Amino acid sequence: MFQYIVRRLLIAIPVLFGVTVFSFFIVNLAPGNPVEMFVNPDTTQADIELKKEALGLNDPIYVQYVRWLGNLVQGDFGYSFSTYEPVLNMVSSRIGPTLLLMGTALFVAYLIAIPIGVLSATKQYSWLDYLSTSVSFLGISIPHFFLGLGFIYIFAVQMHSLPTGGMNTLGSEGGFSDTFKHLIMPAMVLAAGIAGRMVRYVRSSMLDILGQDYLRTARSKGLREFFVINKHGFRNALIPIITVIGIDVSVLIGGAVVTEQIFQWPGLGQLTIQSIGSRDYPTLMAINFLAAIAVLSSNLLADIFYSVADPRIKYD
Amino acid sequence: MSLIKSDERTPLLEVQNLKKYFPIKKGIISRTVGQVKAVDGLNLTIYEGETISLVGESGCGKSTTGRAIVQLDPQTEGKVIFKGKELSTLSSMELRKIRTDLQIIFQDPYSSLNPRKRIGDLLAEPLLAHKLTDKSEVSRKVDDILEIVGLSKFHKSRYPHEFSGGQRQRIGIARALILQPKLIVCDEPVSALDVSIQAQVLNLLKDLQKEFQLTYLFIAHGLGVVKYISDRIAVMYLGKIVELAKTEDIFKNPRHPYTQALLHAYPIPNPHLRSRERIVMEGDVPSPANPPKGCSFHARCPLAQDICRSQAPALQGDEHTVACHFPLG
Amino acid sequence: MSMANVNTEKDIPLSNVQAQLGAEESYMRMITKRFLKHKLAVLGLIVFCLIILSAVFAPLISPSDPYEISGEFAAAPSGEHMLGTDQVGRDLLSRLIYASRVSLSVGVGAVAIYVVIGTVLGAIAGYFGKWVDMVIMRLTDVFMSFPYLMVILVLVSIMGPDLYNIIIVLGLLGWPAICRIVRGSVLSIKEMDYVKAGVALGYSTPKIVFQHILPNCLAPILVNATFGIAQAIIMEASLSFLGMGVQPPTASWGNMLTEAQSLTVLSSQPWLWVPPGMMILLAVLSINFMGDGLRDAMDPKSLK
Repeated sequence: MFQYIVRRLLIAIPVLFGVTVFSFFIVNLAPGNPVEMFVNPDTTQADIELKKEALGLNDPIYVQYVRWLGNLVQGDFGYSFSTYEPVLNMVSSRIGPTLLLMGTALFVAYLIAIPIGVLSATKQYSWLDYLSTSVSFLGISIPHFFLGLGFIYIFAVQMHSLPTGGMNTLGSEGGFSDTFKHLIMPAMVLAAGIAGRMVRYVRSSMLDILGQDYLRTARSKGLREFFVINKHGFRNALIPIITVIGIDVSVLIGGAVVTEQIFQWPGLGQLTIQSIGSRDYPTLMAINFLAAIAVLSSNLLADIFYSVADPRIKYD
Repeated sequence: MSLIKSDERTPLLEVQNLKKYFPIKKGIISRTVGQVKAVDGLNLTIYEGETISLVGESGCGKSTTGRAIVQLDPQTEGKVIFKGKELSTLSSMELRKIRTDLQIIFQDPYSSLNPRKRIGDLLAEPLLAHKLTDKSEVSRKVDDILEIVGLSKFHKSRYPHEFSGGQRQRIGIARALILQPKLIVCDEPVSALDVSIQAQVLNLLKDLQKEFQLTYLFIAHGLGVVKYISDRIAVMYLGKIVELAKTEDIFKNPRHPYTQALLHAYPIPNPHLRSRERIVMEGDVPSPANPPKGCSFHARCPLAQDICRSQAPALQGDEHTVACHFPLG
Repeated sequence: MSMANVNTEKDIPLSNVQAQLGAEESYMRMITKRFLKHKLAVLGLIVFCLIILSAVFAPLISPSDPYEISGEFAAAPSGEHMLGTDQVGRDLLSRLIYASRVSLSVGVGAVAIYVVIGTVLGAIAGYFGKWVDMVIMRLTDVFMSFPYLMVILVLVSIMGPDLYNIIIVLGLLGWPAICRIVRGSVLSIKEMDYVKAGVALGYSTPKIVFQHILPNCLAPILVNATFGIAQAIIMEASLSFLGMGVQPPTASWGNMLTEAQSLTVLSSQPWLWVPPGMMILLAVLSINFMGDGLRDAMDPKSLK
């Protein structure tokens, strides 16, 4: 197994390299450049050239890539084209809120979805099964922005019970309960799709297990149904679910872009939209790169957990 | 059956020192840590018009040999010379062309037919791919071949799943036959079939041989099946031929202890003839990844001596060759 | 051993039963039958067909020109404008109907592109194996590492947000899932004897891959493509909602919702944003139900 983990890590290296190349080049081959942002009637051609030189935009593209990569290794993501702040500062101040949002969403989604999925499978074709199937399809199919707008309309506009957006009430001290109130709606929106998919997945994985002979054996031994489902069924059904977590992280990040925009949540998703508007390439590269690293490492972790959890996996 | 003397016969296919090793991979970078020697130095000459059988237990490398001969899993070492051409040196175009003369019938009639193709298309395809037949003739040829293998042209529009195992094997035979090949490798063509159907398919193969002057390399795991169909029999053990002789010689005068042991596994209907000295094998077939030193059969041979444990015997003899230090008879 | 005549075996009862069933009783029929048993899937198919029809016949069924200012600004639904008018006074129902064209062309167009790319790459990787497989699989990993929506946003903003660019970008980025599925199927199918038989019969490699291997991994491709259409429709709507998709005045369900980001529209003019939102939901839901039914119908585990 140790060998498998090492092999898996080695495979990640070329992928990581591909990720850097891809994120650097697509953004850099874009038409237009940040200098245009500073052009006003008073700027001369010489000013523009100076600015370009200062930003290193005149160097060949591979030089820019190598420089970027070299800096990256040292934790230097360059300077924002729009605010002149170090990208690292901009990004790091946004990571916290995004992680809070995504973590809450993932936690809530699994907390709701796994028991429902298991119940749905053990009571297959009951009204509960039909209800959970319909609701999970709704969760999978509804776009984040529509659900978000619907939530705002119901909970903020009609019921006045939750704030429409942001992370803290303006002018207030903030604090845990205030942040929590702001967190509820975006986290629910983000959780809906993940939970819907997870219910479907747990259900079918559980149904597979419930059909196995060893479960019938467990029952015939006279074990109580709770033990049969929990010890023999559920634990084995959870194993294939591990592999979905990596995919979920990718979906979460994409969903965070839209959700943060709707709820003005000050995270990386919102920063992405802002950076696209201002053609802030270094920031976009940094966010994309970080997101890819997050997906890559969660896939890696999922694979490793999977190999630990399922002794049947072969390591070659 | 074939009464021509061996020196007058023309070799159709020659297998020289054929070796097929499968690597065993392990570790982080998939290092090759060992080899499974499925076929380990096999020599065989097949003459035109004969049926030669390759017999041995599961895992002795007989199917691997068959697949290497038709270049489905090309050999690690050695030569397969067919119609005077060494197959591994041919370009892919030349190889594809020569394949029209070199066909194979598979063991499993269920996995050997594409489930998505109608029987008519399945049989027309080889003709169209090689442009051997005029397009207008294809349909008639397919009808003919179906008739020949005992099916009807009304089966053309059906899918494989609508047929029984025996019928499917007939379709497999028709597909191999339609290109009018010289040599057909029959890879245990009846072992997946019910006993009652086995005889029908064997008879069909025999009839076809007469009608189309075919040469067969017939692969089987027991001597019983091949008795009626073979001119010569080669007994394989652990990747090597241990005895090769005319069918009647193998049955009347087996010289290798392993051949004898195999014969004992084949029931004799007449109790008065059950007088042969019994040779009972001990233990299992050794792993081809780690074959024993000396004669590969020594660990299971009741007659083994010291020399058998240290020195591998070579195939000896003219008409009746055997690889044993102490041949019987 | 009794030697029977060559021409017997026609009397095997099983083949007779099957002969009576008719030779056309084929794989496709069985799939259709099983699909029709899935009620939600059939409902999904019907709704999806209705959406297709309304997209095709948009000029005939729309009450007015979707670009023409025909009423007051943001008028509530009335007899004249069944769903009201938008903020520039265009008929909302007409815009809603025309917008289905955008969603469908993105869904079908993008998926068509990436199914081709994914199938070809997956087939190459699976059939040839070795380093070719290695390179393609690592490339797949790279593409899969980027969160889909985020990288699409960046690319679309670079190429310029319009319908064709969205289709191209979604198409160029969506292939990895199909690629993996096809590779997996090809890996298992290429070991089947009927593929080996194709090699032994001297068929060319393209013929073997495209005629003998790929048709047998059609089922997972089709299921994935169906879900992919739903996914692409959501992507287009999200992009358009964020202002990075189809640009006004062209109507898209996504960009019709953009205005709801203002609190006035959200709270007091629900006719502006609820119908397009519901249309996206309806389209995506119906396609997902279809995909689910298709998956169940084609599940090899429940096939005999």
